[in-house]
Amino acid sequence: MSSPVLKLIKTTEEQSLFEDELNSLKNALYQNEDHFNEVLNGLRPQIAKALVTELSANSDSKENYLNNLTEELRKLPTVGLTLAFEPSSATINKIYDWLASHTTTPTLIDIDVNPRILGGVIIVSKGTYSDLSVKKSVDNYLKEHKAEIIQNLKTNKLIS
Amino acid sequence: MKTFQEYLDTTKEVGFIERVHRSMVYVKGLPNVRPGEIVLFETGQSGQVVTLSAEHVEVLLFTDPDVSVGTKVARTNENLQVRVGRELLGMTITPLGKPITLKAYKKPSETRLIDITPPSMVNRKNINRQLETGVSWVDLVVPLGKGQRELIVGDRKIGKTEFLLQVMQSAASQGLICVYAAIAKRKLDIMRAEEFVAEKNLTKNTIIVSSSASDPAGLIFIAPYTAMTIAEYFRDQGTDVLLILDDMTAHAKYYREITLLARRFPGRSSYPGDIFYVQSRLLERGGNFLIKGKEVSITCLPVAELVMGDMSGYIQTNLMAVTDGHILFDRDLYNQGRRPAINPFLSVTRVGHQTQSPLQRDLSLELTSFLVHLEKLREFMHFGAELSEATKRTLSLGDQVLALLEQGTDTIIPLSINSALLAAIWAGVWKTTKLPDLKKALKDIIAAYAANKTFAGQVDNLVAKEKSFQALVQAIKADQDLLLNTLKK
Repeated sequence: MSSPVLKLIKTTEEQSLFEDELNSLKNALYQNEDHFNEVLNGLRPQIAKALVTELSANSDSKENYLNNLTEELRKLPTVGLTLAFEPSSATINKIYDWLASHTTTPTLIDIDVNPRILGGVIIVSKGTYSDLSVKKSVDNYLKEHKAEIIQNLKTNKLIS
Repeated sequence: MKTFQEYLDTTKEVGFIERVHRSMVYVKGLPNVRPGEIVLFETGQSGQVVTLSAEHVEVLLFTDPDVSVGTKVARTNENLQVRVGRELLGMTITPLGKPITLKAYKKPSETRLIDITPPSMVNRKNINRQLETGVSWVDLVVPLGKGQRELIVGDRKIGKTEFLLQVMQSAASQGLICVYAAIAKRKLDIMRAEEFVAEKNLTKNTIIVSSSASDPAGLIFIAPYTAMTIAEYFRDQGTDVLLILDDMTAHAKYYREITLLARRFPGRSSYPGDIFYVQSRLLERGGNFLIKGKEVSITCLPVAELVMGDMSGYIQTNLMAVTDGHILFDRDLYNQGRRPAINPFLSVTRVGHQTQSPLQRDLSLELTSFLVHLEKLREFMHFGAELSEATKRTLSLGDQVLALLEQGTDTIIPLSINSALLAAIWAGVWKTTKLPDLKKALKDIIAAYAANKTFAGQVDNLVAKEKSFQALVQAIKADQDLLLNTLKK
């Protein structure tokens, strides 16, 4: 059963950021209680709120809880998406919601921007590779209709 | 080979490097990859899948480990193959089949898997044809058959490679295809082998598969497999092949390095448990085969290096168990000045004698028992005992026989003239001749045999006619002029 706070982590960038936050919380454990609360309140509000709720309901020590959470965070499965544009937060949320509705465990999105794919997406998940890009479709079309295209260009005297 | 992207589009599977540990790379992904499959890295390098675990795919690199974590990896859905064909003759190639020799070359069209199951007993034939090595000690005392797997064993730098090159020269002159696998050799040694091939004009019959000590462990490991695959191609074309694997102890060491990096459980001397399986499976691919109704052979000469003459090493004894005998190069004999430094008493040929003609077998038996007797007499002499006339005669004959067997690395002595000269010494043709004069006479006769076809024909006829060594000795005694007239000319 994964921690509810992990549902707030959507991308690998956020995963890395959250791991840093957890590390700073773990370091604060070895100082006084006030310092720990100070660091906790300094985190992103949504994350801080979720952590406070979970910590208050947690019977285990804070250290164990944070260690387990870090472990869980590292093990989260990732889906790699190569897009032709830099997605907005709304787009990321939309993709994440779609993913969440099709998977049982929280899954992270690893976004890579490559304008050369023109459009569409390349998906990498659990070692499988699906190229659904516009570039691929154009390449395939050009490959299939090469002779026809050359003939058209010659007819219209665009090439000799 | 297709490009990385093409493989990715075909197999629709991708992996990412998680860890690089020298020549071993740990990849995450590639859900349907198979052990032994070749994978391609985004950066152009290639590797072979060694093992699979729940978390990782373990890949052995064929290039320097300059790949980084996060690099994409694609499956090829192919096991390791090399290009084989007559186009390779005269070339030096890498274990991946890429030419090193700088000369115009047409890529062979046929490809073959380098790791296959050895042929079954049904396709094999008894070894019954002698392989003339041109080296007197071997041809007369420890004969080899075509298709035999004979281990060449000895300390380093006592003439093993020179002997092998000599055998290669002799085999090439008889029309055999020679494949020389240099396993983790110094680049200088590989260059010397190349020079030897060029100098002796053996390029039409020789291929060198080269891996130097500075190459990645994965590449060195596959070198003998590639050489064997090339040998099998020529065998299937109906040509006898001589395959030299120089050396298999280095091969074992690099396999040990690979398996230790892969954290396999180490066994004796830290070698992995399957080292015997790996090497015997390879050597089992040599032998005498029946291809399209014709006997064709792969004579395999693996080399094992000894440390201070210790023959009880793990890999050395493994290889002795796999092969049909061994030729021992003795350090003490080398230091005494014997060339080649072959120890006839500790060398073994399990199938060589069955390939000899009745005359050769008789000669071999006579010579071996004489050498044993001579050795005993020489030991006896150490006591300073007064020698009888008969003993003196035996010792003098021994010196003459050893003078005949002494041979430089640049001479090839055909079997017929060798037998005739031994019979002449036995018959007492040069009984009163001093050793330096005898050596010169022998050298001149051998040179005349190579140059004068009429003389060579006469010697061949004489040797072919006789059925026993004593008969040959008598024939030579009766016709001494055949040899002595050559000297007068």
